[in-house]
Amino acid sequence: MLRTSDVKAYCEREPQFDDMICSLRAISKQPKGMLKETREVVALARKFNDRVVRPYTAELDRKMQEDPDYLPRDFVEEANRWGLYTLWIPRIFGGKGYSLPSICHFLEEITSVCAAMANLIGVHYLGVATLIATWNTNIIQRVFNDVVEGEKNGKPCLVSLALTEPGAGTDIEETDLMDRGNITCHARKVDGGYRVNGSKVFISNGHLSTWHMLFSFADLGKPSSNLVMLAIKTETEGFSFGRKEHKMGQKGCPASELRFDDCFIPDSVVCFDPAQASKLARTRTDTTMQLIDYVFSASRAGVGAFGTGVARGAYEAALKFASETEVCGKQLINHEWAQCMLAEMNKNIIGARNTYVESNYANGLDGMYKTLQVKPIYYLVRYAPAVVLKKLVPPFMESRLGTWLMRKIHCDWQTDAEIERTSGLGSLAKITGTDAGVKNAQMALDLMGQAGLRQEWIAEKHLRDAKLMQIYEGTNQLNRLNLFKCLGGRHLPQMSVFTD
Amino acid sequence: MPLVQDAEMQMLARAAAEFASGELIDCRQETDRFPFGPFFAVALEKAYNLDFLHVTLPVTMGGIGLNTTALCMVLDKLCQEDASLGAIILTHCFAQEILIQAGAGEILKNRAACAEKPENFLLACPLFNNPSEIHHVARLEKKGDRPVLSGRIDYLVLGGVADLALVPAAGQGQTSWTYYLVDLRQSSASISKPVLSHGIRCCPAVDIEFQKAEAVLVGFDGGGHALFKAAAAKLSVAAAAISTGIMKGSFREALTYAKEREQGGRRLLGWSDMQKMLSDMAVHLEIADMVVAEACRCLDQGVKDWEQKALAAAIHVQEAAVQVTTDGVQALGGVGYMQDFGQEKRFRDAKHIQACFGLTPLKRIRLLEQIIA
Ligand SMILES: Cc1cc2nc3c(=O)[nH]c(=O)nc-3n(C[C@H](O)[C@H](O)[C@H](O)COP(=O)(O)OP(=O)(O)OC[C@H]3O[C@@H](n4cnc5c(N)ncnc54)[C@H](O)[C@@H]3O)c2cc1C
Repeated sequence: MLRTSDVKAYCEREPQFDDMICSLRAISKQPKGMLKETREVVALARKFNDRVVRPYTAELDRKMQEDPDYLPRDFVEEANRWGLYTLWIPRIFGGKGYSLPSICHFLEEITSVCAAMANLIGVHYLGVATLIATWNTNIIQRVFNDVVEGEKNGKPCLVSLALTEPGAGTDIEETDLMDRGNITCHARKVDGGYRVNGSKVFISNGHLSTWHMLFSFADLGKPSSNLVMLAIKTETEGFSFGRKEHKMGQKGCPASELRFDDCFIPDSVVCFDPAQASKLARTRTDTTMQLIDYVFSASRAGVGAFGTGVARGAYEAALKFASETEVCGKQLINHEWAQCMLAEMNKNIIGARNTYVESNYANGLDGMYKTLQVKPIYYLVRYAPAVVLKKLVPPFMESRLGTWLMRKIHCDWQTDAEIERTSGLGSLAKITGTDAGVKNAQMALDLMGQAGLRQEWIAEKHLRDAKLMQIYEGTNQLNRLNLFKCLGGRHLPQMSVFTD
Repeated sequence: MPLVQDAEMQMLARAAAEFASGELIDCRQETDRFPFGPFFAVALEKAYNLDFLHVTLPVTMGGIGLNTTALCMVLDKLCQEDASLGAIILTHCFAQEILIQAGAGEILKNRAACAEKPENFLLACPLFNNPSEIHHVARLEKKGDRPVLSGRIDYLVLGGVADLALVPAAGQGQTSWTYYLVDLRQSSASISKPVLSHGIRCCPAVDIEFQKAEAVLVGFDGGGHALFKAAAAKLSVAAAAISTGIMKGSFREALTYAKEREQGGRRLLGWSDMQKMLSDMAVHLEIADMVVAEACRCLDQGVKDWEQKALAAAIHVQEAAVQVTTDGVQALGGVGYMQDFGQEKRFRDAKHIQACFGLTPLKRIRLLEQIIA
């Protein structure tokens, strides 16, 4: 009916076909094993919820209110025993190698019971994703070894992401804003490494983490083109923890201040710096943005899953209440208005889930998950005996070739359109999921009246927890702007953002 | 502000505002931790001594005898800083209104005359449930010819603070219900620890278990529903004033922050999306102010169908407050989520207070029923 060139031309019109239905494009390329794995991971999450999370949800929240400085090491140790901190570390690095998109489904399940505990697990993978994004295979190998070792010896080794600064929250997430902002975390090049001064705030799991993926800058006058990413260990001299925030919700997951006082970081843990950036195809500023987008494209899908989970938790609490409570002489669940409210809540959940799934598909096609989802690589990495992997992988990872090749594939070969697609869909998943979370939690409270106000019903906790999701990983306003930038007005040459 | 009318009102408004900034702000964060932090007993006692709890109590019963407009003004001012005290006043006034409507003013008069401390003056009641919707009522029994109550009442607001409670009760199998007064000091009333709650944590609630507790009938047998309906209609405007106060506090905090905090090389206020968010908040609260003032006017002047206007006002304003306080947190970014700024508390308080007098969606249906009737 149409010539191939016509199909191409029509499909490249806005909205571009490739942005619209990533699932359709991805499905034939995706290894079959991923479905089985995802099913397994959901089942594991449900079991973990039954055994660990649900019995502890209200208690941990109450404990934190009683003693806001309490650190839930007990839970982290339990999650470590269950192997949850290596579940999504690729087998080539010694982890269990579950496919990365399945983490979202896992997080949705855990969040539907407790967002704080979901964060105590999920934020570790935000740190992990940040480390992966540098594709510094040598350091990746080293940090992941520690995490795997920590699982074996019962001493959890978590990774955090330290990006936000006291004066730069939104600013530090966009290169368009960085240079106009008030960024102060300075990394000065010295012999054999960098000296770091400055502080980071609101760092989730900070006090509980062993490694911190730090965003610092070699030149504070122009941070956008002077990114220095460092892997810093807690015991490093000159590094210390500051205040631990007292939050409205997600209380079990600490938000920490990290301080760097003339902290020397050797070259061996410099994941990325301007010298390395100069070797890549894009400008240094564009590379900084690409790196940030690369992490957030994956992690914002994760926050979308948090939002979906909390929306589900609120829905499930409301459904339980409605099925157990008589209102005006009739089961609440049989009032038509309540049925429509519950259906609306379910609609929010399903819509939110679909957006993070779509975002995952995009990351599989064009982003962080790309290499590991190529079928031969997937099956090799997933099923080759550990001894073989151990023989083959470390030498490759520790060589410069490893870093060079991975950066070539993931940085230089990632097109602008792919960056826009993955980043835009990440923002979409984040906004949709987290708005659904807040909305559903509010609706649950409307439906439950007095019972909803009581902490033991957890519905109100879901509301307290959900609000944070609209803020972290970039406020939802920033994510709206990013969605517009990436998938809205990009074809209009007169469009620019942050130029108000 | 539209509510402030004459000089007396203006004085009262100023006193409430000064009290709020002098007595409530400093202890807000700490007392919001209740029951893990201290209860604001001192502030409550001062409020009591300053007659903030007596505003609408008729002069003949020992009060100041002002109208709903005055009450709303006090609540608006107090709740700009902290809604817990406002919620205490609302709970008490709701119970007080029921007693007055039921012709039991003598009890109020005696309490006002004899009370030395707020505990002996305040009345506890289940503010957040409409017993005609969810039949949480105590079981009415007889001991000789005297009524006694057994069973459980959930979420009795001020139950751990006041010594007297107004609770709904019904005989076995009865759907109609009746209000009773119960002295909470009697041993047959066992009171739980404070219930851990979403918001207004210094207006605590408890669960209570009665075992043949002595009780005094309020109104007439089966008259609970009518009393609830009349009092809730009137006090729903006061609840709306609490929401308005919360909104104002949230807006002011957000605006102040947006003027000070810089991102992208300029004040947050310089970004048009932030301007839009703040102006949305301002629109909500300007309308809320007008709506509450008009509802007060209709109520105080006994305008026909004032009940509908009062209910509609409350539904609208409380919903707006939830939206405004959600944005109020958002405007501050991460800082808004922390307990230091009071924004997260306002977010919780606005949602909490929206639940008073029963299920939010049913309030709409009830309003429609009134219009049709
Ligand atoms: C509990 C918690 C955990 C967190 N965990 C982590 C973590 O693990 N690691 C980490 O690095 N960070 C973390 N963060 C930080 C989080 O990502 C930031 O809070 C978020 O990016 C917003 O930054 P900010 O708080 O500085 O707000 P600001 O950037 O100051 O924003 C304040 C308000 O202004 C608006 N605004 C700002 N700039 C603009 C603009 N240009 N146009 C329009 N509106 C604008 C914002 O949308 C917001 O409404 C966490 C935050 C919290 C609260």
